[in-house]
Formats: sequence, structure tokens, C-alpha cells
Amino acid sequence: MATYSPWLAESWKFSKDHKSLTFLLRNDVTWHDGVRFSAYDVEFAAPLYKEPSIASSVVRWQDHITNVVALDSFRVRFDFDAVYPYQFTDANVAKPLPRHILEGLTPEEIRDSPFHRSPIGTGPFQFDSWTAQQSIVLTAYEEYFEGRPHLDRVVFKIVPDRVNLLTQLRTGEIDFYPKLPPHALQELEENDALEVIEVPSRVYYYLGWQNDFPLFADRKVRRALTMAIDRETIVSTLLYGKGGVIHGPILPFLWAYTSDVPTIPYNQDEAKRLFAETGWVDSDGDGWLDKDGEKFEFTMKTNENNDLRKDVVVIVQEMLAKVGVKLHPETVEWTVFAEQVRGRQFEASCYGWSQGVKVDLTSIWHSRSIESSYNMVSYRNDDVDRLIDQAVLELDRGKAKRLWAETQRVIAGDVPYTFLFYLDDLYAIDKRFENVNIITYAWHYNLHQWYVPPGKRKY
Amino acid sequence: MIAYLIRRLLGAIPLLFGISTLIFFVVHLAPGDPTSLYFSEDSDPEIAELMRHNFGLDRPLPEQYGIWIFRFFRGEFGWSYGHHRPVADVLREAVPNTLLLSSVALVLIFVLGVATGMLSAVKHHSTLDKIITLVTFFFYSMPGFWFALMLLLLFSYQLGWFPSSHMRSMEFIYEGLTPLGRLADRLHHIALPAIALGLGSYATVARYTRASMLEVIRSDYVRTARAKGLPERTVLFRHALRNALLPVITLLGLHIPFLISGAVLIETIFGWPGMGRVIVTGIFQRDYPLIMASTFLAASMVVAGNLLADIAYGFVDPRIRHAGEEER
Repeated sequence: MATYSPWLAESWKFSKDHKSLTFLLRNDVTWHDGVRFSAYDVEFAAPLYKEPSIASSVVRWQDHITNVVALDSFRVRFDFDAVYPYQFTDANVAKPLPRHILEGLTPEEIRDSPFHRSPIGTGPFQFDSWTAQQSIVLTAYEEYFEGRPHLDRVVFKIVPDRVNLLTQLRTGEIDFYPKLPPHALQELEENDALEVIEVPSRVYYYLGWQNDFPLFADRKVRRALTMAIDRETIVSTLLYGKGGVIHGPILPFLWAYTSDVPTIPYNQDEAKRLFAETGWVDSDGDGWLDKDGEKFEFTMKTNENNDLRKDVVVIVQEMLAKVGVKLHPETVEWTVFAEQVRGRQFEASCYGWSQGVKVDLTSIWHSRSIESSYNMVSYRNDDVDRLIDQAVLELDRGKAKRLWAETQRVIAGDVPYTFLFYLDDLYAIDKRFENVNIITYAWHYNLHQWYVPPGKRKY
Repeated sequence: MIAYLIRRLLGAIPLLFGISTLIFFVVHLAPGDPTSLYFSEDSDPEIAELMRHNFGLDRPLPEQYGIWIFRFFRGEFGWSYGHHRPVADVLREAVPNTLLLSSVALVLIFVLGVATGMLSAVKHHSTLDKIITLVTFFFYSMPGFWFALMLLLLFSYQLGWFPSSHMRSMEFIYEGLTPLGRLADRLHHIALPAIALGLGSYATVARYTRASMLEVIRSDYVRTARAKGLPERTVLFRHALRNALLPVITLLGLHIPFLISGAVLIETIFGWPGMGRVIVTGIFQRDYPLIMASTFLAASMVVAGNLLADIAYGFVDPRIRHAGEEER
């Protein structure tokens, strides 16, 4: 878990039974319209995150929060109906809203309110303007409680075309380009005005084998397929080395990660041997494996709007062909892909997950998530179910870490996915900016400390 | 003429209604899920279900159609799933931007196209004609998006003469400009996208004008006009051009819908905030209300464009005006 440091809250404390959490808020914080921020704003906003008509993306995170009450202007208490490790995180995702503006409206009215096109907050930068498809402008908030930020203004320029974006980076029309495509790196290295910052991202890519599809039902087959794929080469060619091969379902930067999982090294001869063990051999000499007169062939789906995934599928197709496995690539438009993959209508898929702040393998690996959530490869393992159910409730960090490590080992050993790689995020920024500290979760987390020395100022 | 107009306008109503109904069922029955925006590990699939319910997508299709018709006749375009605000607001912002870009492009296309075409026809077989022919064929055969990228790389990146994107400079710069400075700033920004957008059609118009002008110049009445001793200027502009413009007007009519529907590639390359991007993103997101509203607009423009072209024929060619009256 990420660690938390005081910001809007000065301090906090759990009750003895760990079922309520009281925050003491700073008393010198104001909303951008000058009105004082108080515990009533927290109390006002919290229930909205549970509203079905609003359908907040964190609605499930509010399940165990039964009540949020302001004890006085600067103290607010969250009550829970269960004790579990992520109570603190869940209490923190419900961002406060300005009660003095939205009070008296129904949840639907709040949801559809023009407030969201010109919002106010309590942070270092305040909303200035939003021109659709063009730009969003923030300006420094003079009264920010930790002192006015150094930058006067932050402009988010919306540029839909990548070639154009790179052009603007080179001509200095923009100063900062988050999520730079790796192929642009080489060119930018010659540019003295720019610096590139690399941070591991939360995203990993995988090949999902439909475990219910007869061809992939056998773990040995999935293992052989994985063995035939040279993931190091994929990382060095497609990602230009900006990323790393992974072997399990939790990314290295998370606290629950373990490197102690069964790894599957690239070895095409060994892969062929494994295929032969399961009865797949090239008996008619046509170059493709077969068994009982059937060829080893299948379709791999991925989504149209992701070039990297399409490239991965093509490389994998080539690598598998070398061991006699025939892959038919199929790219599908995003909305259709999401619908089909959710409905488990695929044989194999190439996709990626962005790992959340909470370590929880339930939605992807628990067998009950086959019907209700994102276990789209129909992975079933009672041990994994049991381990996950225990781990999500384990309060002791050390014990939880051991449970998650065991879960990762079992999953990696079962090869329901071929885990491919995590990606590094590349951020190009003009060198005149100082104090830039970019972390995995948010590039902007210390934006209020970014600084341009007087001699180098441009605007 | 007025009765003819009214008849045409009334005839357009069932046509537009039919088109909209057809599109409604096509987009709703097409595979793809508007809530796929919520397909992420961080967001429980239940949220997608909630959104579907909130959008009314869990109701039977005929019921959804009924609701849509009812709202449509009250002039409500509905709520955009992707933009999270009324579709009307989205269109109100995007349509003027597209209108601006495409009308500038349209002027370039037709004024320059007709001028070059005429020049080329009048100087038939000269070196100038050959150069024009070569250049127009070059533009005509070039894919628009490629040309746009070349403009971008040459004039923005290499030479730095023009900004790479957007309709104007960033607010904080733009607001400090004089009115004249603002106009210059906008022209500076519109130049590349308008040229990129117009060039292919410009070449087409130039070719059409040239061909049709050549035909007219050789006709008897032009020879007669010349024989009468009329100045060449009068012959060309009063007598020849008017007739030569007929096919060009058809082209113009066909271009009217493009005034509103925008051009997604050019808009994307130059970051122009127009309808093309709105429509295409809407389609990719299965933003049904937005697709419905923008296709309705586009269909109306097609109908309007055809109507305008027919009226314009009447002005240029009395024979057509007569035919219209006789029909009545």
C-alpha cells in the first residue's frame, strides 16, 4: 500500500474496534471561491459516491462504509461495518465536494450539473477555462494552504494527432509530453532542450488463453505456448527496452509483489517437446502441429485502437509458427472487443491491465469473477479462491504479503495467461523546469513545486 | 418557384425521418457497447450495468425508439454518454468551428478552382495550361492526410512559419491581442488546415471548370459572340462562364454537407475542434444520442445541399427554371 501523508487532514485515528476512522482536518483550507473548507463538505459528498444514479467508479469501494458524519467543523468520522486492510484507502477515494454550491440538489442534478465543466477544489491550481477539444487551463490559486504554487498557469493542450504532438514538442509549442511513444526516444535524444523521465507504469500486457476452450484446457499446452514466445525480444524491439518481462499477476512496484514465482524461460525445443507430450506433433509434415487429424490453430483477438497490441500479436504469430502453431490474428474495434471479451467470446486474446492502488486479485483471478467480473479466461483454482479470500481480509501486512506471494506462485504455475511485460511511462519535459518529481501513480503529484528559474522563463 | 420550394421541403421531412429511424436501428443493433468506457480493472463491471440502466439501455429496443422519437419531436437531442453533457451543447460548440474551417476551404476551392480552370481553358495547350494540369493532377491524386502531414512538417516544424494546431493561440496570449491581432492570429491558425482540407477538391473543381469551359468556348454561340465583335472579356465572363459553371454548381451542392460534417483526418492532424472528431469519437464510443443527432444534421445538410444546387441551376440556366415552372 502506498503510504499516506497529511494534506487536507492533519491527522487521523481508528477507534479501538477499528470500525470507525476519525480525521482531523486542517482549519486553514479554502475552496477556490474563498469559502472555508470544512468537515461538512466531506459529510456532504460521501453518500453521493454510493448513489447508483451517479454510478461513481469507486461505488464498490464504499460498500463497507455505513456512515460519514461531521462531528464539528473540522472533525469527520467514517463508520465501517467490517474490518479489512483497505479501510483507509476506501475512506480516501471519496473526494469532498463544495456543499455550499451543490447543496439542495438531487443526486441526478448533481451528476448532470454544469459545475463539473467549471469545478472548484482546494488544490494549488484552480480551474480557469475549458474549451472543448482545445484546452483546459488552470491558474495558480493564491490562497493555497501550502503556499502559492510557482507556476502561474498550467495549460492542458488537446492535440489528437501524435505526429503533431511530437512536432509541437520539438518546436517548443508544448513543454511536457506524458506517455511518449518509445519509438520517439531516439530522435529526442539529440534535442538538448528536452529531458526524458522514465517511470514504471501500472500497466502490464498479457496473452489470455480461454481456459474453457478445449485447445487450451491443458496447463501443459499453455506452458508450451508461453515457452515458445521470446518475451525479452518483444520488450527490446517493440518497447525499445522501456519495460520488463513479468511472470506473475502483481507488478514489481507493489508491496505484495514476489519475484519467487515459477518462471517459464524461452525455449522453443523444450516447447516442442511439451507439445509432443500432450499429443501435438507434426505427423503429416506440413509444418503445423496436429492431433487426431486436427491442426493446432486458433484465433487471437485484440483491439483495433492499440498499435502496440497489434504488433505484439504479429510477433507472437511469427514465434508460434516456428513451433508449428498457427495463430490467426483478429483485430476488433474497441467497443466490440470489450463486449466480446467480457462475454468470454474468444479463444485467445491480447490485452492489458492497469493495476490499481489496492492489491486485490479477486476481480481477475477468483472463480466467482468468471460470471461477474474480469476473470474472462475462465480460470478456476480452489486454492487461489481460498488464498484470495483470506488475503483480502488479512490485517497483518506480513501475513498478507505471504498469502499474496503464494497466490502469485499458484497462478504463475497454472499459466492461465502468458504474462508478457510491464511498460515504462516516458515523460518528455523541457529542461527549464526544476523540481519535477514524477511517480508511478501520478505525474502531477508535486506540480505545485515545479519551478522555472527567472532567467529561463518563457511566458 | 416558392411552391416548388415548399414541395421539396415537405418531401424532405419523411425522408429525414426515415433516415433517422434507419440509423437508430443500425447503430443500436450494431455490435459494441457504449459502457465499454468502464471496462477497467479499477472499475467493477456492476458500474457498467448501472450506467446502462441510467442511460436507459436496459429497456427493450422499441421502447428506446419510442422515447427517442418523443424527445426528438420536442427538439431534444439527449444526453451524450461520452461527453457527459447535452448533445446540443456539444454540437453548438463544434458546428461553428467546422463551419468556419470548411467555408474558408470552400471559398478556396471554388474561387481558386474556377479561376485556375478558366485560365487553363483560355490558354489551352499553352505551357501554362500544361503546368496547371500537372499541378492539379498532382494535388488531385495526393491523399489528403499525407499532404496535411507534409504541410505540418514543412511549415510548422522545419520552417516554423505556422502554428501546428488549434484555432488560435492559447487564451492567455490571445486575450492580450488587439482585434486586428486576433484576426491575424486566427488566419495564421486556419491557413494550414484550410489548405490541406481544400486542396484535393480544388484540383477537382479546376479540372471540371477547365473541361466544361473548353466545351463551351467551342460552341456556336460563343463563336457568334466573338463574331459580333464583343470584347473577349465579355465573351468569357458573360457568355461562356455562366454556362460552364453548371457542372461546378452540382459539385458545390455536393460539398454543402461537408460544411457541417467536417473532416476527421484534417481535424485530427491539426487539432481543429470540429464535427469530424466529434462524430468519429462518438461512433467509436457508441455514443448513440450523439451519433443520432450528428447524422441527422448531416442528412439535413445533404438534402439542403441538393436543394440549393437545384435553385442555383435555375439562376444560371433559364431552361431549368422554366422546366420547374412548367411542372407546376
